Amino acid sequence: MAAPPPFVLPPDGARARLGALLAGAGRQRTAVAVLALAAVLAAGAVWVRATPRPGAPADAAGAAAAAQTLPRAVQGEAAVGRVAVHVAGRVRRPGLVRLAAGSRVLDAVRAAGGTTPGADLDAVNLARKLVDGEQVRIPARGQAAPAAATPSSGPAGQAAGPLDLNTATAEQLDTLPGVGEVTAGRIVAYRTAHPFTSVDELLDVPGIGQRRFEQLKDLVTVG
Amino acid sequence: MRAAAAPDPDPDGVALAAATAAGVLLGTHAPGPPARVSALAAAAALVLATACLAARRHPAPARRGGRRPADRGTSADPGRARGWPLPGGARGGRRGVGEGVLVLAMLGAAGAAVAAARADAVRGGVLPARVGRPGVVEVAATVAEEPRPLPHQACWVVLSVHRVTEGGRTWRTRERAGAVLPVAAGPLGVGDRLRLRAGVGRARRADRLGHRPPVVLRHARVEARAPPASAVLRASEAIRAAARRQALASLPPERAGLLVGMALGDTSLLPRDLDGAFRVAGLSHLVAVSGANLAVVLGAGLWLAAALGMARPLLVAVGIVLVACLVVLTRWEPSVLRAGVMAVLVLLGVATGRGPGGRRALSLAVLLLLLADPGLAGALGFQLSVAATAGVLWAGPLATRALPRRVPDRARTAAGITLGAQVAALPALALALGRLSPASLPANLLGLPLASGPMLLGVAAALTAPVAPWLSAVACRLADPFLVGLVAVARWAAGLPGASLSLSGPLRAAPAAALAVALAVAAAASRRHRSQPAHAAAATHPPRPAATWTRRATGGMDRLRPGHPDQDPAAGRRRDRC
Repeated sequence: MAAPPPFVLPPDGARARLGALLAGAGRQRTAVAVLALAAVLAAGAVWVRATPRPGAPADAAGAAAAAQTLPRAVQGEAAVGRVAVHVAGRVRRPGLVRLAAGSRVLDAVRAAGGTTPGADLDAVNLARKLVDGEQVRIPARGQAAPAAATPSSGPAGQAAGPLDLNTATAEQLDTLPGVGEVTAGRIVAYRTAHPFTSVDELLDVPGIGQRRFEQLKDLVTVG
Repeated sequence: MRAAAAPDPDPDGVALAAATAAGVLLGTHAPGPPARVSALAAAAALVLATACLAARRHPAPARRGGRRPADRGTSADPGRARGWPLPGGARGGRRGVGEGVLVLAMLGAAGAAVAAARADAVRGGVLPARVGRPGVVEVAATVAEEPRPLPHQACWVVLSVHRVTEGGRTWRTRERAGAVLPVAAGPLGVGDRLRLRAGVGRARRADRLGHRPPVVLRHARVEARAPPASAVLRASEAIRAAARRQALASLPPERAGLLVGMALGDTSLLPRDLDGAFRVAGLSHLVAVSGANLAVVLGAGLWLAAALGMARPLLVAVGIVLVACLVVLTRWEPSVLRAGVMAVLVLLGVATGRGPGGRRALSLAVLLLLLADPGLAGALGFQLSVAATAGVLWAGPLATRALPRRVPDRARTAAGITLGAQVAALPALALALGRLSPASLPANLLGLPLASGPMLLGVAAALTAPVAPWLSAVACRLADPFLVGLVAVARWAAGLPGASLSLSGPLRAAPAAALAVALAVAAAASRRHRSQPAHAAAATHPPRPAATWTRRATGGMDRLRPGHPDQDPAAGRRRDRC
């Protein structure tokens, strides 16, 4: 390269540099102002679109399909004279079902799509009347029949839902089918080292094989 | 002569980007309900913007608008001389300082307004209100991001939810949710429309701007699915599927997965152990597509177009179309978005005859992207991409100059780029993940020269796969030796003792603190240099043309820039060639 052309050095000193910086930014005010305005307007439009509002299902076909797949019990929110129960375990569509008050456990199982192969219906009392807020669990054959989880008032009622692997105590884990004191201890030891990010990681806990995992995976969750 | 003033960091562009980023952070973490924060910030931005627009222009500095050759030699601050969107010039007076404060405050307010509006939209969705409630909701959604494979035959999908039905009531909405879906549900692509039934749970590690969704659909069952509504998405999904098939047909599975990952960012075929080796070796930016990919492909595409004798406006149009294609094909990964916006800015600069250099293009790209999607601020890919690019543009020339002169120029430049990127990315990685990979330095020095081949050939193989499978197979085979080399480098570096260190607690900040100290020392040293006469400073540090750096960072389209002969004598010659 030839001799460098003469050029003027920028002024020294923090103040002068800051002044030059701000002057440089100030010269671009028109373009930046237009840009910022456009961005704020666009964000406002996105915000309006994101605000939830009630609406009908868009297409008739979708609505018809929804009506087919949703259990009849779930349609119609008005909960007068109705009970909501959580059907879990060996049923085709585990989850919440709503039934007329006075329905039996058998109705809840039917509303949940019936049982899957391997369900042990003898372990539950199909004739029992449902109580609002309870959980009905259909165990697999060979599994000890769990005590029916009865509803309790307030937030404690959620304890009947799936156990959170990261927060459940060793005693709570102990109540899971196929999990004894030893395995519960191992799960706790595992999660202190690596908190669970998905239920599948149960398979990494020593002592839990594919078989036991299959039993457990619907009963636990990761929060 | 930019190289002589290398520590001078195009300050006003950086200030504009930093003000936006600060505003976004403020809007995200401000106390108080996001809706109120957003409204206040938007009002402030409105007032400040009006003030900016209403401010009378002060007398134009002598250089404004024109680039008369006589001015060039006396350019007071070459960094600012490439200003864009408005040209820079000689310093304004006091008044310019006041306007600068106004502009920065306005950008901060706009960033805060945009971020808080987004935070409010994320928080106020239908699904977050249903977290923890028992029961099942029915959800109509489209797949928003490329599904990521999980162990045990499952994949993680981020959905954009349009409609939520619970107990016969329906809401129309626009919000994000994650879901773990079984692979058995069939391969999913971006834009696929799904109807699911699922429970709603809180996601671990959500962020307030929804980049990682706040809710997870649990035990999701796919009730119905349909292909994307958009023809562009369907076509790009067809290309991606054809590329996967072709790569698997022509290469062993391991290298096929690597090729598809490098070209398209599709890591679904990559074996977990190889993915882990690349991560430990600090090469994970290669496995998922990165901004470097776009630079390589765009550079090659423009070179080809120029060789075909296209005129400059046509070249610019070709470049922009190519960027758009690549962004869609790679599913707008944050780092590709960053590189794409930078490239478009530089190309538009070429078209309009005056444009930003690499440094300013980076600042403007950050500013634009953060205003358009403040959620990117929390995306690790975006942070790392910006940090690495800044490292290439600011620290790269310094690193090159520090290398012994016996090394050939080309190798020195390449090593300088790698070193610059590493210097900037390591502290960011340590801060975000608590991981420091000393092995990444040798791995990148060895691996990066091997990487451009598969990047280019992979994209060529993907684009030809649906129309000319034989050509695609040839491209795959040509890429194979590079892939073998890359795999070997990654496995070797990952096996080095102490390849990856875990940092915890305050130690995470140690690399960033070390970098800050080094920067302060460099700044002090540069001040000493400045007090020397100009010729002495230039003589002790024979400058490298800054245009080289811009070119490397922007993928070569900088070649087409109208030359700045004062900064780079070669630029004039290059322009003649194009």
